[in-house]
Formats: sequence, structure tokens, C-alpha cells
Amino acid sequence: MPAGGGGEVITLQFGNYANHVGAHFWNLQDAMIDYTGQEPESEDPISHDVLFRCGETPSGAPTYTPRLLLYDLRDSTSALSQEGVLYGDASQQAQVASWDPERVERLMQPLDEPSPYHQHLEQLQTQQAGDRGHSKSEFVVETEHVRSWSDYLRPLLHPRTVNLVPTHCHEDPAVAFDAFWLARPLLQPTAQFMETFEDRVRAYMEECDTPYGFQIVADADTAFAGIAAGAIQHLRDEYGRKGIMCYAAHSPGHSLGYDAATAHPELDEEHQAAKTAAHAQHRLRSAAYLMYECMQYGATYIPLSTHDAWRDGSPRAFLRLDVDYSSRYHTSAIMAAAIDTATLPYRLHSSDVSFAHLMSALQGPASMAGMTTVLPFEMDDYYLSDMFSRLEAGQDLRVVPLTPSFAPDLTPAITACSLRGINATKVKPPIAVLRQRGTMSAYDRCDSPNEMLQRFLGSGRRARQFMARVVSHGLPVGSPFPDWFHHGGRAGRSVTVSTMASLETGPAVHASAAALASTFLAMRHRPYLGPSWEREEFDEMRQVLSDRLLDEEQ
Amino acid sequence: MSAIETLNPKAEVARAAFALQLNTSAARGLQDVLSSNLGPKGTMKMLVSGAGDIKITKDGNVLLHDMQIQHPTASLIARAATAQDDITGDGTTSNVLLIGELLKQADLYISEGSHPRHITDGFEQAKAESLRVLEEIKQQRGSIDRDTLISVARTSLRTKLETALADRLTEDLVDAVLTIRQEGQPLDLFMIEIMDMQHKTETDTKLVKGIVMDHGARHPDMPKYLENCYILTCNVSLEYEKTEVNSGFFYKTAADREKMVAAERKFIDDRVRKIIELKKKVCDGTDKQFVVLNQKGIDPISLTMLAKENILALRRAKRRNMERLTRACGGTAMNSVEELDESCLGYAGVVYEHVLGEQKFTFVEKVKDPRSVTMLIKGPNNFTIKQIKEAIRDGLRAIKNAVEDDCVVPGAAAFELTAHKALMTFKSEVKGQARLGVQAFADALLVIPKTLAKNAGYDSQATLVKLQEEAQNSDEPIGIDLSNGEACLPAEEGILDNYRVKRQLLQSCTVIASNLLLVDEVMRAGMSSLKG
Repeated sequence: MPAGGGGEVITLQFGNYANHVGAHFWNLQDAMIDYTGQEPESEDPISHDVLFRCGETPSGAPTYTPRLLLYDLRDSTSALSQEGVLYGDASQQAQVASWDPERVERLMQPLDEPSPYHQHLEQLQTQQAGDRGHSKSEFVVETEHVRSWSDYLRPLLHPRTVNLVPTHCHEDPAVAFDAFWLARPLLQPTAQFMETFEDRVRAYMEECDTPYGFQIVADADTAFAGIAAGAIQHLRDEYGRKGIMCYAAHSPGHSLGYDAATAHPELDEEHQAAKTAAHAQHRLRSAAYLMYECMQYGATYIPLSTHDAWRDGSPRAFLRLDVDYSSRYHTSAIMAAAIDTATLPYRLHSSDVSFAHLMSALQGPASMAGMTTVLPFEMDDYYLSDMFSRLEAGQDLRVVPLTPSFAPDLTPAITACSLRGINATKVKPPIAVLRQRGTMSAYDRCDSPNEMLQRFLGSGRRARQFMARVVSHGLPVGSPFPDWFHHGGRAGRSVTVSTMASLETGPAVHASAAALASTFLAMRHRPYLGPSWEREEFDEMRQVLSDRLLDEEQ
Repeated sequence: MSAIETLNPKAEVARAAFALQLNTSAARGLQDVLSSNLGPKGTMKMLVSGAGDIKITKDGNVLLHDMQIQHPTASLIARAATAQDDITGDGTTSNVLLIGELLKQADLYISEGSHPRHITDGFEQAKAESLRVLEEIKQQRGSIDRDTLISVARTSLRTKLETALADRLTEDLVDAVLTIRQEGQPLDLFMIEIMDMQHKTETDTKLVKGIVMDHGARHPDMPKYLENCYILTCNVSLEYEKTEVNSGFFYKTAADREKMVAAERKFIDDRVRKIIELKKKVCDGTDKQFVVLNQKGIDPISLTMLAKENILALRRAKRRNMERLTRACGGTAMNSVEELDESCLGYAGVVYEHVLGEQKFTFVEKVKDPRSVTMLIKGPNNFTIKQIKEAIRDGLRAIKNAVEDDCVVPGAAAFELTAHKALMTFKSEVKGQARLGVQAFADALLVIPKTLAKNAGYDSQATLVKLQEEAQNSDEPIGIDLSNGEACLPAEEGILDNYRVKRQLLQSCTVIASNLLLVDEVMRAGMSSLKG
């Protein structure tokens, strides 16, 4: 049996921001798939079957859709139909007509306009007679026009993919879906919500020949963290040892986002400030709760944020990107690019690393991994060997951590690092150039990109164990990916860029987890302990967090 | 100045008459939305979302869940109504109508100067009297027979579906319940699987005395149709999983790794061989076939081994189907392959596969003594299927209620008309202003027959007068015949309602309406809006 590519991974997305990350992630995947069938399969190093499934519509047309379940509040999908258009059938309207029309009252919500991006796609489609896969479109998504993630999601979805939480909506800020226990009623074993979730996960599992496990992208700081935790419990319970990777995405609303003044115009400023503080605390509670549940159920917890602290941090610097750090559309793209690159190891045809390998490798005491990225891994006029030297020096090119309170200068225990988009002619300087320079770095002596990366991981940062993957294909960053790369004077938009991303465990990750735990433990929780968050549960959580994460500090 | 204003000068306060009006108008608003849906002649509502998703229903509960209700009073009522549905499975629309009408009637007296307390006192007494009437007219039939259950199911289904479809499903639902019912044990509706297929038309919906599963064999060589089958239900992994032991980063040598993988693989293969061994033991030399239904996974290698032996194997059976399967086919669900023998096997006369596009269905039928069955819903599209599914759930609940109550109540507004008549007599015994409350309560009950008549296209006042005249001269409870707007005897027409639905309705509506009436101050401090 092949150890690498071929096993299936099921993706679950919980929450609005998680779906932003997901939308970018699936757009990237979609852009890498060759729908025309012209390119020989052997040339594509990535096995898309890991994340996608083959299907067939009732009329017999083949489909290729993400193996995905996503969850959001009911007013968050704008013009995206819940059942999707792929499996829709024309008989719908006809069927309605067969009822006595006088006895059907129609309650229509105003129809949502398709987003500018989708209108653009439709236009292209009519022009090119349906070739969705390879339209070289130069469309720029305007940040301020993005209503929701569905406005720039490109792949079509399976009817079972989109699930909406019926009890809350984004538009009603007075009832924020922020504290994790708000998810509790949905997670009752008898609740319709839970039953549907179980059925749909199972339907995907049943299709898989050799399922590897689950990758979860969840809002870290809304009640969706609570739903994700409930989902993890169920998956552990039902599917035993399958791997679970949980990316907990912190929305840029850390310090922005929630606006007490809009939600509660009737309160005075003092009360509004109190509301804002309570809201910020609920976000931290949710984040800590998800980390705790991941620890309890052996899921790898990978927190992602573009800010550098668990609360009120400042943005991480991406020197070569024009990032709007308050935009969900922008910040989520960074995370999606990092997840894509970091998960390459188990998505390659050639790889001997399975999802389970990666999972168990990252299984530290805190069951948490930190993410770092270099985006873009811009080569300019340098060679790869020079790049590593520059990275080591860390001046204009830096490894940026995407995990809050994470300073990856401590020696990681394990690193899994991937580098993509390396041009074979730019690996190291030709002899003539080297002669001219007169010196040779350690990297210049390496034979292959892989060797260089191993050397970088091994010597530069002295990780005890590491895993390196290099892929020649770059990250496709055409629209609808944000157009934020500095072009370095070159005209036009690049089609792909090089990126590097790694997942690691070790003392730095532990310190990050400890920072979250101690912030959580320092907060006042008493007023919230009650029927939905029982004291015993809280006490146990406090105990586990301090025992496992804070022992050396006491 | 009220206390809250001292504390928070920006809080808005609505007092006394205005507070009451606020609550009344919210309740009336909700009533207006739902009233056209009551009864078999009520309209359907088609909800179309901004993205074009369609939902069709006339179930008050579904509508309340789907309509965004932001007015605090309206959402209080909506919650009470959905609680009614959770407890009894029916009566949501009636609940909303009755609360709205109670407030409206009370308002008439309060606006003329009565204190709400008097009215609510009257409500309490009227409720007690109505409950007495309910006890009186409920029909105890010792043990409820099939015909009674059919009447109950028909009454419930007709309020939710087109008449023709409702009538088709009625007998199936009753038979489903009667099949799984076991003497001396509580009725477990869980043993009725509700499965849907997007296929053909809704009139193909039927009862399958067996189990239908929404998955099929995952190997091309496996048989698609088997007769005379042994059924093995089990929860045993037949899937090679990379354990943590062999998933470390490095192996000393490639050979080490190969060895490790081979050992793990053999472990799984041995399990499959045990199953094949049993199959050979019980099937060889007979015309019996063998089917494996596994809750865990089965990987391609194991599937191939099983397919070679002409065994049909399904993986990842639903957890909640495991109990149903053993109840339907017999046998025991096995958690290991160590102690397999014939006694743990179930039996089915026929097992076959049905393919619809990418979806496969497996039917396990002709079982010997089904203690679990399947309602198979068919429909051309998802919203039809959902609508039928909801109706079937409610229908099953209605049958279950009747079985557990061991009695039924005449439907077609007979209870409301009888209670009204009784309350009119009772009124004279009540002292003081509470009498007004009794009057209001009695009048409010009439909202049910009035709305039923109106929805059927009759003049509600004229019909009501006709019915009341009829009721005066009759000892039997009189109801409304919606086919002609005349009076009828619902018990004879086979229009029967659940006792517990009516009881719960009286209880919860009185409480909610009384509470809302006694509100004399509404404060807005923290809530988003009072304007509904």
C-alpha cells in the first residue's frame, strides 16, 4: 500500500473567519487543478484526491468537489446557495407549480446580487464557452466590496457542504455568538444540528478508502470554537485514532471588529467599554477552551493569527506585502497560503509522509504546533543558496510566525518545513558566478534544494528532528487572491510566487500555549459559571491547563 | 421616575398601558403571520432565501424557527410555542394563535378599566374548567385500536401535507408504529428510520419493513442482489491504519518499515479471514448468502478478499443504525471477530442495492420479525423531501402520543367549541371581575374554529354561529366539517386529536398570556429594539 498520496483527508470549517481562510485555501487548490486534462498527471506533484472527491450529479455529469463541511451563521453566505448549483435540478420550479398555487404563500427575501467577482466569472464563461479552469483573469477583488467569503469563493461545492447555524446571525450584534458555551444547545446528542453533522461526516468517511483524518479550520475566538470542540469530541469518539489537525484562526477583530457603540447605542460610554471588554474576554475564553479540548482529545492545535499576541497584539510585519491588517479578506489569505504550503507533505504523490506521520510527529505535550511562514519567498535576482544565507541573517527576509506569542528563536523539537515554487535554474550560482564572488557559502556546496532546506533547518536553527519538502510548483496567486505583492518594478501580476511554511513543536510553542493558559487563568470567570459552563468543568480545565502548561513557572 | 432611569438615564421605559399594547401587538403580529397556516385547508408558506434556496412548509414550528424573530415579546411567544412542539410534537400554530387571541380579548376589558390581575384570575379559573371539560370529552377506548390510530395520524398529516399524499402515508405510519411496538415496553420511535431518496415523486414514499441504508458496496465485484442472506452486523475495523508506533519520522532501514507494515496488515487480514471462515461454515453447501454490515471502515484490500467470496460488505454503517439492524434482522452486533458463530447472525430474505447518481442505497428486506422499520421518503427535490420528513416526524409523534395517552380528543375544533359552551355556564358561578377573564378566555378559544373556517374559505362568523347553535342542541362534541362548512361529529368522521397536545396548549398559553398581561413596565436597557 502506498504510504504517501492517496489517503483522504476531510476538511471541516467552523465559523465566518475560518471560512474566509477556507475560501482562499480552496481557491488555491482549485487554481492548481488542471481541469483540461492536457497536462500529464505525472507533472503535477500534488495529489488533489487527498482533499477533493469525485462525484456524479443526478444527470450523470462528473463532479470534483472539496471533501468539505463548512459551518457559519445563517446570514453569512450572501448569494451562495446552500445546496449549491452543481447538483441543482431544473425540475424545482416545475414542481412548485404542481401544488395549488393559490395555497402557497411566497415569502421572498430580497435576492442577493452575485458578487462582482462572480459576475466577472460568469462573463468569462459566456465568452469562453465554459472553460472555468484556465481563464487568465485579471480581476481585482476590492476589499471593501467583500460581503462575505462566499463572494470570492471559486470552486463549486457539494450540496452537503454548506451548513448554517439557525439560532444566531451576524446582523444582530446585540446577540453576539462569542462565548463558546453558546454552542452547547446545538451539540446535544439529540439536537438536529448534531445529527446532521454526524450524518454528513459519516457520508464522507464512507466514501474514503483509506481515510487519514480530519483537518479543521475553526474560528478561535467565537462560539464556533465551541462547535469545533464538540466536533472533535465526536470525531475522536466515532473514528478512533484518525488524525485531527485543528487550525484555530484568530480574526483580525482582536482589537477591532466588535463595536459596542453599534451593538448598544443606548448605553453610555462606560457601559460600552465594559461590553467591549467582556466581548474580548469571551474571545480569549473560546480560544483557551478550544486549546484545552484539543489537548483532551489528542488533536493538534495550531493557532493562527496575523497579530503577535493573544490579546491586543500588533500586526506581524510582512515586509513585501501590502496587507490591510483589519481586512478579513487579506489576513485570511496569509493563513490559507501558509496552510497550503505547510500541508504539502501529505498531499504529494511522491511523499512517504502521511497525515498520520505529520500528526504524530507534531504531537507535543501541549498537543500544539506553531506555524511560521515566508510569504513571498521572493527570489529577486538571487539564487536559492543565497536566499538561505539571507534568511539566516534575517534582515529583509524573515521567517514570520503566524502563531500568537510565538518567538521561534528557541530550538524547535521538530520542524516540518515545505518550500514551494523553486525554479530549477535558480538553485545555486553557476561556477562562473561563484568564481567571481570568490567565496562559497555552506549552501552553495549543497546539491539540491532539498539538501539546502535540510541544512537550513538542521544547522541554522538546530531542530532536533526535521522533515523537509521542496516542490517546484509555486503558489498560484492570480485573482481572487489579494493583489498585494510588490512587483519590484515588473509590470503585471505574477501568476505564482514561492512560499515557505513550517509547522513546529518545542519550547517556543510551549511558551505560546503557556501564555494563553496564564492569560486565561488570570481572568475572572466567576460570573459566567452556571448551567452552560459548569464549575466542575471549569475547575478541571484550570487544573489541566496549569498542570500541563505552567508547571515550571510555579 | 422608575428605578432604572435613576441608574441608567438612557434606558427607555414603556409603562402600563403602553407596555401592554407593546406585548399585545407583538402577539397579534405573530398570530397574523401564522393564522393562515392552521388546519388542513391552511396555506403553505414558501420561504425563499436571498440566495434562492427554497423551503416549503405549513408547520408552525418550522416557520417560527426560520423566521428571524427579533421582537423580545414575539420571541418569548415563539419560544413557548416551540417548547410545545418539543414536548408534544404538535400544536405550535394553535399555541401562537391562542396566546395572541387571549391578549386581544383581555385587552378589550383592560382598556375599559379592568385590572389585568382580575383578568388573569379569570384565566386561571377558566383553564381549570377547560381542563375538566377536556377530561370529560376525551375518549378512552381501553386499548387504542388501529382504526383510532389511523384517524389520529390522518388528522395530523392532513394539516401538514396535501390531502392525497397525507392519506397515502397514514396507514404506513400506523403500521410502522404497530410493527415496532412491543407489549409492555415504552414505544421507541427511534426504531423507525426515516430515509430519503431524491427520486421519482412524493407519492412513492412508503414503508419498508426492513432497513434502508444510504450507502452500498464499495467494490465493483461485490454482488448487487442477494437472496436468503445471513447478516453479520459488527463494529470491527477492517481498515489498515497507520498507528503511532510506525509513524515516527525515521526507520532504521526501509526493510524495517516494510516489516512493520506487513505485520500490521496481517493483523487486519486475519480478521477478514475469520469472517470468511464463518461464511464458509454456515453457507457452504446451502443456498444461503452472506452480508457484512460494519460500523467501522473496510479498506480496498479487505473488500477484495470479501468480494472474492461473494460476500456483500458495507462499511461505516451509521452508529444509530446498528441497533436498528439487529432489531430488524436479529442476531447480535459483534465488537470482535474472536467469538463469531452462527448464533450471532441475523437473517434477511433479500438484500439489494439501488443506485441514484453518486448515491447508493442498500435495502435489507423480507426480514422475519422486524422490530425496526424504515419510512422511505421519495421526492423530486430537497424541499419536498424535507417537508414530508417533518410531516412524518409529527405524524409519528401524534400516533405515539395517542398510544401513550391511551385516549384521544375529538378534533375539528370540537374541544374548543365544547369548552366555550361549558365556560359560558361556568361564568355565572364566578364572582367579581374574574368573570370577565373567564369570558375573555372562552372567546379566545373560538379563534381555532374561526380560523379553520376562514382558511377553508367560509365566513368565520356565520360558520361559528351555525356551529354554536348545533352545539346547544347536541350532547356530543360538535366540530366543523371543512368540506362544506357545516357542523359534524368529529369522532364519527375520524378526526381525532391528541389529548396531551390540548392539555399542554391550555397550560402554556394561559401562563404566557397571563405573564404578558401582568407586565406593566418594559425597559429597554441592553436589548436592541422594542419596535416590532
